[in-house]
Amino acid sequence: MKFRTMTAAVLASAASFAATAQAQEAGTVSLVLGVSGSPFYQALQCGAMARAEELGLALTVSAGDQFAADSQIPVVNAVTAAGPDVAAIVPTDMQALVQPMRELANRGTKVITVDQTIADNSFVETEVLTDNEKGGEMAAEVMAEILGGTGKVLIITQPPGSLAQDARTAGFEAKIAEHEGIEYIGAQYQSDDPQKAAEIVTSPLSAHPDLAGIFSTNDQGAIGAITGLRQAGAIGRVKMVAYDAASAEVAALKNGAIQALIAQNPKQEGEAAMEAALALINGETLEKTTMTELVVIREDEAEKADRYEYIADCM
Amino acid sequence: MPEPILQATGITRTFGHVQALRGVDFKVMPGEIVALIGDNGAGKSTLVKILSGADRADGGEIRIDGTPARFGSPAEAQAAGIATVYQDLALAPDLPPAENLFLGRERLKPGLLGRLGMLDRQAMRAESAKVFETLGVNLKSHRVPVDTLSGGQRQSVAIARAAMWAEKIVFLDEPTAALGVVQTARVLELAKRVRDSGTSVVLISHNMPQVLEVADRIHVLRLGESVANLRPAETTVDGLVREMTSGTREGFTP
Amino acid sequence: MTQTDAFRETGEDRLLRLLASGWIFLLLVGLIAIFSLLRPAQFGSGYNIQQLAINAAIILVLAVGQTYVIISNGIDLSIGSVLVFCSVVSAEIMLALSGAAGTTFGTTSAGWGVILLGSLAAVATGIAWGLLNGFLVAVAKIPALIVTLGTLGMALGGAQILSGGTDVRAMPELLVTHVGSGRIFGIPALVMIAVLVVLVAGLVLHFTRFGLHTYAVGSNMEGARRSGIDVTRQTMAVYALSGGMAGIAAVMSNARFATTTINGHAMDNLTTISAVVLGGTSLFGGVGSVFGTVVGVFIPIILLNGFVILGIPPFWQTVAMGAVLILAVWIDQLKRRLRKRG
Repeated sequence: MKFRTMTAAVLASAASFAATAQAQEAGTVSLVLGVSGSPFYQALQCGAMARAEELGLALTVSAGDQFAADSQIPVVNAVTAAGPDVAAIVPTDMQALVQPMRELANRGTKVITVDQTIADNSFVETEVLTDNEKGGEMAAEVMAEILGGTGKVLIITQPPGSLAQDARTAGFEAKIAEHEGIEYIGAQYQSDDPQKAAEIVTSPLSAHPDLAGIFSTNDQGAIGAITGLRQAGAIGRVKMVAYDAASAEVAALKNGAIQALIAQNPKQEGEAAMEAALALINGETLEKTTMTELVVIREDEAEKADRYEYIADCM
Repeated sequence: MPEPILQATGITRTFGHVQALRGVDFKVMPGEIVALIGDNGAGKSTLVKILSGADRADGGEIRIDGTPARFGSPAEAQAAGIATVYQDLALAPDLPPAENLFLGRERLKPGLLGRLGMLDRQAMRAESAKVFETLGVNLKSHRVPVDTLSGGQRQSVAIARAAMWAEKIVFLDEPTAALGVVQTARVLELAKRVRDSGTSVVLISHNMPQVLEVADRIHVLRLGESVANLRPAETTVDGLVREMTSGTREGFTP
Repeated sequence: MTQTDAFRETGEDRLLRLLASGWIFLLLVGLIAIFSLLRPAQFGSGYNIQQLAINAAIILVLAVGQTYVIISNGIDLSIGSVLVFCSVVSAEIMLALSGAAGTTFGTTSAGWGVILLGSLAAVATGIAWGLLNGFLVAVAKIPALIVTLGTLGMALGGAQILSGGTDVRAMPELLVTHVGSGRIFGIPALVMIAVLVVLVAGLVLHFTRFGLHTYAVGSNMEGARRSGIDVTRQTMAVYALSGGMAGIAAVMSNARFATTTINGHAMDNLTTISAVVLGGTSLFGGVGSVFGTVVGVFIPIILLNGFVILGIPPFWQTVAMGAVLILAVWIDQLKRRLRKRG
C-alpha cells in the first residue's frame, strides 16, 4: 500500500529527527510560531534554528495553520505533553492562551513569549519583543521629516484589540501631535485584508484630496494602501511609512511607493529566544522583557532593506 | 356484478393546445389485473398521474367504491388505498428492504420510547419478512441496501411496498421495461400474487404478449380516448395493435 | 434459514453497521499505537490523552451536526461563522447581565442564571441561523453550498457588527473555571458535554424515525417525498440541528478560550466536513454514522499531536492530513464499486 510506505517514510524521518535531537545534550526547546507559512515567522524560525545549533540546543518548531487561538492551542497542548525544558511561544491571543500556557509552566517547562504577549504573564520567564510604541514614535518622526513638518496624515491599522497594533498607533499619535504643522485625521481599520485596505485609502483620498502621508501599522495594510494609491494615481504624492519589511514592502520601497519602513528583526527575535532558553536551562533568571531591535529603512537604503527583509533563508 | 373499486368517467386534461385526455372512461374491478395500453402519447401516463393524485383532471369524475373522490396529492391517493410504482423507483437506495417497505409509515416502539420516535426495527423486519414471503419475493439478503440488489429484486421490493400499503389498487408503470427475461417473469408472478392477495393491479405496458399473459382485462387508449375494453381470450397481439393504431371511441364498451 | 431469520438483526450486524467505516477505525488505532510506541511517556500520558479529548470536544459537537446535514445530502459551510456569531451574542448577553468584574483577568462575577440565559441564547441563535439555512435550501431551493456560503459571510459579518470587530473578552468566571477547565467526575466538563451530545445524536440518528428520515431524504429525496415524508420539514430540521450544535459549541468555545474568537473557527467547516467524510459518510447522502465521525474527528487531532510531540515540521501535518483524506474517499469509492458488483 502506497499510504503505508508514506507513513513509514514520515515516521522514519521523524525518528531520525528525534535521534539527532537526542544526540545533543544542552537541553530541549520547543518553538511554537504564530502561524505556519508566514515569512516573518519563518525568518524568526531561521534565526532560532541557527542559534540553537550553535548553542547545542535540541530545537523543534511547530505552528497552527491559522493565526488564531483555536488552531494554536492543540499545538501548545502537544508541546506540553512532550515536556521540553523550555518552550518559546508566539501567543496568538492574549487571553485564550493564558490557561494552556500556564498549564505548560505548571508541568515544569519554562515558558518564554516571543513577538506577542499574553494578559497574565506571571508564569512567563521573559517576553522577547520589540517596543511597539517606540516603533510608532519612530514612524511619526520619519513621517514628519519626509513631509517637511506639514500636511494631513492618516493611519491604517487593525481594529482595536491587538496589543501590538494598538501600541504602534498610540506611539504614532502621541509623537505626531508634537508637530504643529501636521494634521492627524484619524485611523482607518483594515482587517489583515489587502483588498479592504485598498478601498479604505480611496475614500479618504476623495474626502481629503490634500492628504500628504499614510502610516500603516503592518505589511498587509501597507500593501493594500499602495494598491489604493496606485488606483487613485497618488503614488509618490502621498508619502507612505509602513511597519515591517515583508518582501512586497521592500519592493515597494525600492520603486518609490513607500518612503520609509520601520523594520523589526525576526531573526534576532529567534536568536534572542534561544539565548534566553539556554540561560533558563543553566538556571539563570532573566529580565521580564528582552527587547529586540527596530530599524528605520529609508528610500535610498536598498542594501539595508535587503538585509532586513523578512525572508526565510534557511529553508 | 360487483361494484368497481375505482370508476373514472369522462376524464379530460389539456396542456396548452394539446388535449391529452378527451373524456376517458376507466374502471378497476376488485381482484383483477387491468392492463392499460396505448401508443406513445395515447395518454396512459397522464391518466395514471391523475388517478394516483400526481396530477389533476380538468373535467370528469372519479369514484372510489362509489363515492366521488378528488386527490390533491399522491399522499391523499395513498390514504384512499391507491399506490403507484414508478419506473424510476421511489426507493431509498441506501436503506435495506425492510426500512424501505416501512418508509413514511415506520413502526415505533411501544410506550414512551415510541413517543420519542424510537423505531421498532425488529417488528418492521419481522413484518416485512412476512410480506415478502406472502408475495414470493426471495431476496438474497435483507440487511444490505436495496442498491445492491438486482434490478428485478429492487422492482419487487417497490411493488411489495406499494402492495403492502395500498389495500385497493397498485399502479405498475412499465414495471418490466428494464428487466431481463427471468426477472420479468418474477415481477409478473408478483403482480399476480398481489392480485390474489386482494389488491387490484393496473399494469401499464408496451409488451403485448405480456399483457395477454397476465391481464384479466385490457383497456386500450388512443389519442386521449378509450377505444377498447377487452378480455385477453377475445383478442390477439394483432388485435391489440389494431385497436392501438386505429381504434375509435365508438368501438368502446365500458 | 427461513425468511424471518434472515430479517433478524444480530449483535454482529449491529456492530458491523456501526463500524461501517472499519478501516478508518483501524487507522486511528494504528496511529495511536505508533505514537505510543515512539513516545510512550509523552503521547500516552494521562495529561496528553485528556488534552486530545478537550481539543476534540468542540469540533466533535460541530461535526455531529455536519454528519446529519451531509447524510441528508446537504452541506453546511456556515457552522464556524454561526459558532462565532452565537458566541458573540451569548457573551454580550452575559456581559450585559453581569455585575462586577471577577477575580482573574477579564472575567465577570456573573452567576449560573446568567450563564444559563447566555447559553440558551447561543443555542437559540444557532437554531435560528440553521432554520434560515434550511428554509433557503428546502423552500427557496437554492443549492446548499451557496446558501451556507452566504450565511457564512452573513454570520461572520454580523458577529463583527455586534462586537465592533473586537473580541468580547469578559466571560463569567464560573463558566471559564467550571465548564472551560472544570471537571465532572474527574472528566473535563467540555469532554463530558461532547460525549453527551455524541451519544444523544447517535441514538437519534440510528434508532429513531427522525434519523431514518434523514437517511431517506439524503438517499432519494423524491422517493422520500412520495413515501409521505415531509422533506421540507426534515431538511429544515436537519439544518436547524446543525445550527443548534454550533450554538452549543459556541458556549463551549467561550468557556474554553475565555474570549469570543472572531478570527478563529475559519476552518471549522472544512475540518468537520473532512472528519465526516473520513468517518465513512457519503458526500452524496444516505450513508454515514456518528461513530465514524467521532473517529474522523480524532484522526487529524491525533496526527497533529503526535507530529508535534515527535518534532515533525508543521507542513508535514498538513500534507499527511490531505493524504489521509484522499485515501479515505478513495477507499470509500472502492467499497462502493465492490458493493455494486457483488
